[in-house]
Amino acid sequence: MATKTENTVKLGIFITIAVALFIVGVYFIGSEENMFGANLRISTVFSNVNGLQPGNNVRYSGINVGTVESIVLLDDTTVQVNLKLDRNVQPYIKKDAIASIGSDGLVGSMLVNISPGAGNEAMVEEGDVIDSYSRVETDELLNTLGKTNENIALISNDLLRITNQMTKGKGTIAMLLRDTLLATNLRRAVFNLEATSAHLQATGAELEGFIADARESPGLLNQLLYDTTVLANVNSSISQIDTVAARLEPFLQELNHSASDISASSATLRSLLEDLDSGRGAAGMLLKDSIPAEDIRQILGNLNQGAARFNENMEALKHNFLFRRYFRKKKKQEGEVPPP
Amino acid sequence: MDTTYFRGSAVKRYFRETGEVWLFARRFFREAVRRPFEWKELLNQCFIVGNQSLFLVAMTGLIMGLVLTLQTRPTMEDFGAEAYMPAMVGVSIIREIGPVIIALICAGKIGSSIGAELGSMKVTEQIAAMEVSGTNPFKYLVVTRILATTLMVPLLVIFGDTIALFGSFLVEHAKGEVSFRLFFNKVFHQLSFGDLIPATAKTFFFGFAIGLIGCYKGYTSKKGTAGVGRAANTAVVVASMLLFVLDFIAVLVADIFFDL
Repeated sequence: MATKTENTVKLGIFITIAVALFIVGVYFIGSEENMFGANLRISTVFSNVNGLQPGNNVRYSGINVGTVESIVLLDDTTVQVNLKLDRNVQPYIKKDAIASIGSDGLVGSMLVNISPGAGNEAMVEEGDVIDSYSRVETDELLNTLGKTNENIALISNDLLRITNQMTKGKGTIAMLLRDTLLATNLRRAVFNLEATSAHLQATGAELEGFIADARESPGLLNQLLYDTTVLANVNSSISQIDTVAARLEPFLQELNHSASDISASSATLRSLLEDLDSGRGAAGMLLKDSIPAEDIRQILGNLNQGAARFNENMEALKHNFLFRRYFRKKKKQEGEVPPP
Repeated sequence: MDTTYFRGSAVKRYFRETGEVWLFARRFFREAVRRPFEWKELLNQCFIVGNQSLFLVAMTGLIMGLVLTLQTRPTMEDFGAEAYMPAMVGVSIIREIGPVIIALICAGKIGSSIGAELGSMKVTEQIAAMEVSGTNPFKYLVVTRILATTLMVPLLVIFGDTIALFGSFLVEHAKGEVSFRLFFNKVFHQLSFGDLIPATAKTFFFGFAIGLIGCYKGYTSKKGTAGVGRAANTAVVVASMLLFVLDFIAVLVADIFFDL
């Protein structure tokens, strides 16, 4: 009976230890999955989760702070990842923190990395959605490399064609390479350039000497460059010129007025002359129209004839007995004695 | 030589035996829930199955952990992935190797002993004597043993897994100077409930299968003392086969529920 009791005690110990081991295992696994203690649930959105699974770790600054609770496909390009974090890290994760998907080493499982924000924002709250950053996918990288390779192939084809043309002597570059005359010209041009540069150098040396001379000899240039009194004189002259200019200003204004009057008069004169030139008006007609001139000439001729005849008539009138007495009297008044 | 008869006979024998095992299991469930309960005998059988197998399971677990780590480490070192050793060994032992190896050990030790014990009781007509004396031999002998194996094998597996992990730690500590805390941190970091729960759940079925086959083979043994040995032998063989079948089914079911 004592043996049986002893056996039962041993059995009890065995069962207790085994159950305790199981509970310890459950506890540690549960701790890793944040099943015990207070949790903070936030979420983030990705376009591609790269094989992330519920239960994968969430790291903040390289520390495991939680796990991926669930992954929900919102639409054809959006995947929402719900994260279950340890409540203790809440003060350190700000609202502008950024989540990205990484992997635990080259062959490790996927995980979510939370990068700290600027630090000025408030801490995250339950249910917040933080920003995410999608890293460059290997597929995208390979696609880009593929496109780059295609471009390189096209470029190399073009280069091949260009070099072929150059070998055949086509094009400007080929001409540069193969044309001996051009090469001679170029060489000459280079010689000329060298000569020009030599001249320029000599000129520069001369200019330098000239400047040195100007610095040392007391000439006008030296005074202009180095004598400060010249500047004062120039300033004084300028101020005097200013004064004179100020005095001249009313005169110039008067002159301006006169000029404008003259301009107006000249405009009037020009209009008059234009009228004359175009034959408008009596004077223009006189100047330009030949018929009135002829008429006038004829009138003048008639007037001359008329005047001669009038003189003749007047002379005849003097000898008329009716008027003879009048004329004698007039001559007597003038001191002349009319002939008898 | 015409083998049609033999093949037909083997197939028929297989189906007949499968049906008998099914009926035996059904009788177990019926008797298990019916009073009176043989608590003392159950505790006794638990002690025999659990405590008396402990040393064997512990040794097996320790050697399993040592060997697994020693064998795997060079390959992992070639890939520069020796840091993943605790995680890999942890997952391997908890998920698959621990339950299956320890269940096989139990099938060898417990299944054969149950088969031999009940077989000898059968051939010596002790079971018949119990029936005559008014004791229900099925309830006293079979129900207690199957319940004991069903309850004790999971505990033995937990024990064996723990010792196997400890054996793995010894090698890691010796070769990679990994501390105790770091080793178990890495193990539990990698493990999830999807590893632990299905692996533990299937050990109940393993224990049940070991007890059921051992009891069936012993309880139905015939042909004298030769039949006892045969019962012990076939109990181990059939239980081992059944363990692998159950393991396969358990992995399929766990894959559905835990998305492994």
